[in-house]
Amino acid sequence: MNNNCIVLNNKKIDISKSNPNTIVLDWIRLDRELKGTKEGCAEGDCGACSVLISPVSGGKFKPANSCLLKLGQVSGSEIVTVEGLGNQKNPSSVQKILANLGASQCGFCTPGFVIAITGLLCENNKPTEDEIHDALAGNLCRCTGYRPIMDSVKNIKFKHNFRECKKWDNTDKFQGKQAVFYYPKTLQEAYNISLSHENVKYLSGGTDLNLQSQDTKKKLNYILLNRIPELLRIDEGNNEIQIGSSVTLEETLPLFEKYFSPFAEILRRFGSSQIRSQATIAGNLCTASPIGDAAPSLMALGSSIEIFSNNQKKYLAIEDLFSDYRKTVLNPNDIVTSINIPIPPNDKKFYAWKVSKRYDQDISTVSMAALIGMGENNIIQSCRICFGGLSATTFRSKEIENSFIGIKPDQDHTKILEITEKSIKPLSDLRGSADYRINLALGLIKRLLFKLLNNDIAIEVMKVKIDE
Amino acid sequence: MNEISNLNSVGKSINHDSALRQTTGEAKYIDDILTPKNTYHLALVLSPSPCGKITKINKDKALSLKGVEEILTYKDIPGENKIGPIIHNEPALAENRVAYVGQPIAVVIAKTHDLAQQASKLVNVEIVDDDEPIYDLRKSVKVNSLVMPKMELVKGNSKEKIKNSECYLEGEINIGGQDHFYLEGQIALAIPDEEKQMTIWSSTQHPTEVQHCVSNILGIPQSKVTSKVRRLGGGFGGKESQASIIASITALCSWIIQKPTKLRLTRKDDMLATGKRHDFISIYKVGFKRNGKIEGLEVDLLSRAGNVADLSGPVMTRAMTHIDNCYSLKDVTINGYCCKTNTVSNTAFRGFGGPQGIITIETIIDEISRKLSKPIDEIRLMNVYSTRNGLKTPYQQTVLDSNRYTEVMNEVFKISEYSKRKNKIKLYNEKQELKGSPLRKGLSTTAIKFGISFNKTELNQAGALVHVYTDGSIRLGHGGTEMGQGLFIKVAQVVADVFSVPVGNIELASTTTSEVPNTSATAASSGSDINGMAAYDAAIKIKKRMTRVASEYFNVPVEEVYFQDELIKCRNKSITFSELAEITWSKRVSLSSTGFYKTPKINWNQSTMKGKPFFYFTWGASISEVVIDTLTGECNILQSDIVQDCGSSLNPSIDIGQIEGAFIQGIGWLTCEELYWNSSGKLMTTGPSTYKIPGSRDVPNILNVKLLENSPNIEKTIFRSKAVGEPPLMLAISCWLAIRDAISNYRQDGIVNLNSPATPEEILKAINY
Ligand SMILES: Cc1cc2nc3c(=O)[nH]c(=O)nc-3n(C[C@H](O)[C@H](O)[C@H](O)COP(=O)(O)OP(=O)(O)OC[C@H]3O[C@@H](n4cnc5c(N)ncnc54)[C@H](O)[C@@H]3O)c2cc1C
Ligand code: FES
Ligand code: FES
Repeated sequence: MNNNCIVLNNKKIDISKSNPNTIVLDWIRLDRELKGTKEGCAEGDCGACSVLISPVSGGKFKPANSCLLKLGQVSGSEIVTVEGLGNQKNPSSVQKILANLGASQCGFCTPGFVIAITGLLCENNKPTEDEIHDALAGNLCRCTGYRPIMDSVKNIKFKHNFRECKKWDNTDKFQGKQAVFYYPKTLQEAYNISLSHENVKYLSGGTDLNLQSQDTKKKLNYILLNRIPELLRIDEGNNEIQIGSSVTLEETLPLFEKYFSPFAEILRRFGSSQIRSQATIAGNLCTASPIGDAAPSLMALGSSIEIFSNNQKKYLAIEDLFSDYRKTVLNPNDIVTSINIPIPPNDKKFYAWKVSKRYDQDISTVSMAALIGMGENNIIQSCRICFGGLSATTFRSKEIENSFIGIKPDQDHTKILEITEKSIKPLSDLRGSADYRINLALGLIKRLLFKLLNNDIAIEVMKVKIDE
Repeated sequence: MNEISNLNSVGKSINHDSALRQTTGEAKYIDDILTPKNTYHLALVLSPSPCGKITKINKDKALSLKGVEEILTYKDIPGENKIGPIIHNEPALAENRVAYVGQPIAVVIAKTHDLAQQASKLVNVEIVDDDEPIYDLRKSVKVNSLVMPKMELVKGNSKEKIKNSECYLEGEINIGGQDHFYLEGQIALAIPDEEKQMTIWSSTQHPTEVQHCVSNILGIPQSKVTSKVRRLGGGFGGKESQASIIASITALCSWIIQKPTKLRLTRKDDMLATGKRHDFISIYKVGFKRNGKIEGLEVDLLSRAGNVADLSGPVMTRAMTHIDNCYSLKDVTINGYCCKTNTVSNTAFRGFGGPQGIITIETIIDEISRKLSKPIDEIRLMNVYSTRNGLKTPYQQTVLDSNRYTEVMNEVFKISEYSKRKNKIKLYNEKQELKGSPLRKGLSTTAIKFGISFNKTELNQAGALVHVYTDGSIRLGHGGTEMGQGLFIKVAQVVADVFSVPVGNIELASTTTSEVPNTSATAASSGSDINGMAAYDAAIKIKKRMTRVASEYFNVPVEEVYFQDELIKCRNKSITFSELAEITWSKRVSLSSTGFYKTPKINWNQSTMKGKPFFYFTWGASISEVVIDTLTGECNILQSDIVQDCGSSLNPSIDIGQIEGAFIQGIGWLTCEELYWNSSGKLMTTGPSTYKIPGSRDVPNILNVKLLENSPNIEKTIFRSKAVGEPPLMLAISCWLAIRDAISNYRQDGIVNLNSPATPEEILKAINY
């Protein structure tokens, strides 16, 4: 069998003697002694550790947070660090323009920006202002105030010479002393490994799991799901979209943009481009956080998941998935295989909003998604409405939904607000007090009612232009 | 002395000296320095309790891990367990008691960073909570829990004036703190030497204080300690005094095991264990005329000093001396209380109390304008420093260039098309109301006057060391540290121009206490002012000697010799700079010199709070427009226009970088950066996932920054430039006032009860208040 290898800055490196549980950032800095990649937070939120990574299954380089990745996840990948892009004698165009336009002050964030910008420009040679923000939301700079960084991206003449990576790795696991990473190629294989081992975890993007502290006394067994071809497919049906559970958020965006653009808008604010290039919807659902961004929209749209369990496929509506705070009804060995989202019919309108302290790359304080059917004379005929951030799990209430039925959006809606207020009991925490969360829920309902009447008016502050 | 030369670099926009090194990842920070093979790694054991007595430290479990070498506590300190920039009695490691959650108690020495971290979590500290913790600032004042006596700045008779004035307002402003969030966390690397010497690389803004603290904690003379830094990955004040704690602990470990050690704080430990910007409560009473003229003002400033004093006294002093901002206050009483609480000791942060002082008076001016239904700019004009209104500050310094207020204000009105936009916003808001839309816009202005110099007079000194080598290359060292602000390039520009050589010929040395001793912190925006002058002094001394040698060589009087374009000329003869360097050496004349500078004309009496603490003032103005959602409290800053007085700027692009960076940091302080403690005194926002600094989209959609033109400093600063590091941070107060304006435009009753930071939650609260 082949050894576990990584291609780092165009050089193949045998990593089979390393610990697969090592954080990639540490491997780069300590093992490879490449010090250009920095640690600013070790939790995926600052971008200083960004590197370009090609998926094991082949494809384009994407920026990712090396502080969130384990060596066992990237075995078989190609990685490019800031050193791989250029040096002082022969800098890349991105490195040159950032230096010339004053985009690097203390410089600690800079290698991360170089990577994120290079990743963006490889995809999109002429990004709009908004696209640049989307791509850089995961990179914090405390010195420059970003203006020179934005100017650099807008003014660069970029020619990229990155090839697309091909799949070359055929290993089926990465064995270490403290941890083993398994690379099953089929569902059945994955399921069997799970059944036959202790202390096992499925791993998709790892953007949730890798942040949780693991008991390192016992040997860890990770089963990587993103090397199973069948989980990487996207099916665009007439009435329904099926997203394989290993499809990353970034890859879902174009399709979501087409069918459920408010959901896409929320996902564009989900983490950062680095996070979205790894994270999956399946991981988001299985983590079962009440402030997770996928569940409210999926639930409002009436989506379901497909599960591989006991050697057979099952289906479960999203609203039946969560049992308690950060708990699902799934068995530990169950694998989510796809997310199936019905396309709303023309007579239904779909809205979704997320409110957070910071617009980008922040966890929601409260979010809301609603699918509304309008009847004749502007009377609401049907309503599915779901909230995040109001209770231990994503929240849906028949009572609230019923209160919408039969009214006109411009009618007196105190009843809806009263019922909503009565049915929620949110907690206070660092993202917002209980009072604020209640007011947000009510505010978002009012926004919804306003929107039902004035669909063309942009009502989100971020969409307001100076000239209006 | 300075002939016109093609090579002149002062006043030009020249890139940061390390720009390309940084973008290619080749620039080395302390964690990037290749360390000796036997380097050990450290991790702190932090207090889990806000107060109480340490009864037991159980190390066994941690020590049983393979690769864990030692766990040290204050008992292992050979010298004194005392650091503290002002009051030198603050412990590096807690002794018998802890005073906040996150206080360093012990330090683990282990083979790797991860192992040290892991072991630090296994050290079990038993603490008996025998005391009631204090978190509340009002309660602190009530029970007299202060880190230093109350401070008082009085001028005239405010009580009487307030009593007799036509109008009266009172209120309270809660101003949140701020974490520095330098991208590079606190770090130090200590390397022991023979003869009990110690070299310490520290990410510090104050290498001399690191040297002093290390010498103190080890009980060895300062001459045995060398403290060094090439660059910091951001400082912002957070590495002024705090870095010394980290460096001292590192040196201690290195000393005990006589091996190199490195302490790099994780982001979480950094945010838990080290100080931040002080949160303040300002309580005010103001009496004023119907035309808006302030008659009397009384302000109580309460700051969260935390467990010890650190720099809280000077921070409060600056807050008190900036309450006036641009306004002539004749009858004023300011009381400053530095509250001792069971939270981490707060410290310097860009602006150093100035922001808290200035936001207080700016909010008061805004309140007066709403009470009188007059435009805020009119109230400002009634009160601004002028020959008519008076030029003496409450602390008795005369404001000499008050005309700059008008200059920056007029310029910012012009570039922002202020009056036109004011009308547009009015129409916009009317339209929204008609539609039933929840959106409202707001627009406001701010002007800032900021005093330059350390309040404490003795700190206003600097040293430099310049060597010219026989090949004509030049090495420059000074006491200032490079933390991204472009200090090194600015000072290099100064030296390059003295010798009339390209700035690239100047080699920049790490800041090192063995080269330039007894320096001040690189802080108070003073870096290029004082280090630029010291370097100038050193360079001029060498230049004079070289000129003398040249005059002998050419056989002409010294007056006829001049330096131009890398040549030394007289009449029609010339030699190159490197030739003259070689000749100077052969004539046995020294090519090396120290330089020194002390800021002139300043004095300060801390007990009466009177004097002339500032060499000069800088001025700036800004106008911002925001839109808020009155249903959710969300806010978007649409446009900001800024005009800043940098005197004759040494390097305009570097200065603009400082202005923009400071402004955005100010926006963070006032909008999204919220520190959240739980009820047991534990900081819950300990990383960027929960503590939100501005991202690229939080920058105003339109941001225009302009330096005030043709405005040399009236004082003789280096090439008549002005300091720039801190003042623009406070220009972000225009965004804060614009948010207040938007809230007021929605409520239409003149009541705006807003706290800072104006998070969506706070904005919504003020809307529904
Ligand atoms: C910096 C940062 C920003 C973030 N921002 C957001 C945000 O804005 N909004 C938000 O909602 N979340 C956010 N998250 C959380 C996280 O990114 C998401 O929850 C993400 O969707 C998780 O997906 P993943 O593929 O990385 O999951 P993983 O970490 O791989 O897995 C998460 C859990 O799900 C299980 N699991 C994964 N896939 C499957 C499967 N197919 N079948 C069964 N079990 C499975 C794993 O065993 C694990 O327990 C953020 C995280 C970080 C680090
Ligand atoms: S170190 Fe901050 S995102 Fe990885
Ligand atoms: S340049 Fe210092 S953090 Fe970006």
